[in-house]
Amino acid sequence: MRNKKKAQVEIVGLLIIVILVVIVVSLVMKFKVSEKPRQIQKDYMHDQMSTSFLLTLLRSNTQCSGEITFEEAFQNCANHQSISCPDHSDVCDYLNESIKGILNQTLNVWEIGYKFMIGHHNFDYPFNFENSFDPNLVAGTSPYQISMWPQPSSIIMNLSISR
Amino acid sequence: MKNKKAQIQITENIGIIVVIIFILIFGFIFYSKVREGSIKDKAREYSELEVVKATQMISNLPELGCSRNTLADMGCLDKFKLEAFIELNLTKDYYDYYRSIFGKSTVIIKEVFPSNETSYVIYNNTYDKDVNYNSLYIPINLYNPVNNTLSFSYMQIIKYTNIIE
Repeated sequence: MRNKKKAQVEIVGLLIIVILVVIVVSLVMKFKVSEKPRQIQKDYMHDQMSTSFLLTLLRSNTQCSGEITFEEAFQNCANHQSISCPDHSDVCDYLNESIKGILNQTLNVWEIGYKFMIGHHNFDYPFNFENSFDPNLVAGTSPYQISMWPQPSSIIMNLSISR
Repeated sequence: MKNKKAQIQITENIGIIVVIIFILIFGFIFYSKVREGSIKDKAREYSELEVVKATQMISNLPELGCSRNTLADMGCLDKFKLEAFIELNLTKDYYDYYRSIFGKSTVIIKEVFPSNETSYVIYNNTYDKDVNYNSLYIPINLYNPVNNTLSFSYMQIIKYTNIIE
């Protein structure tokens, strides 16, 4: 009778050890599985993308008279629209079409979601570009202002990139 | 009677040893699988770091970068320097030097605006067999010193890795 009880106690002890081991192993498994590998390349690309894209775009030269830069073309669009651009009625139309073309050959091809807004109260229409790659998931946003000095206003640009 | 008890105890001990060996083998297999996964992740991380490093280096290579008014321009590559670089055809000496920087990758510079017809492959070193690859894109300006203009372009780095997924 005493021997039987002793054996029962031993079995309970073993059971507790087994349960503890199972709990520890499942906890380790859970942490290992939920640990996502770092995506350095994607993170870098998305962090840099909005800033690099905006700066590269604004520094690029257009085909408008005097080969002015995109930054100067935006200032002109918001001001008096005095310059002429090939195959377009005015500089704002030219900008709209050119940016659309650039986005189609870059962010759309790379399958990166974006929302690009450029606004100024003098614009005939707001510049709004976005694609269907879930723009709600914002990975990087670059707000940028183009000064309209000596006028006390500025053109506001905002490019949001999603993952 | 005593002999039988001893036999039972030996069988019990053998049983325990077998169970322990089984648990150890199972644990070792499990551990090696987990380690294999983490080593693959680390290898992928290092490979991605190499791409990012290569991107930074290309943008800052004096033999490719553009300078305007005697000042080095950031995020900009000189069109003529690129063409001269390609004409070098990376003979052995140069190839070894750039291979130490870029490793197994392909570097492409593509012009987007105003013209999208120009594309330069400035470095190409691939594996002979089919391997995994991933691309990194960075927008940059391409400088034309003749008419002093910048075009909208991008740099694409394709990094090849033979890590089996």
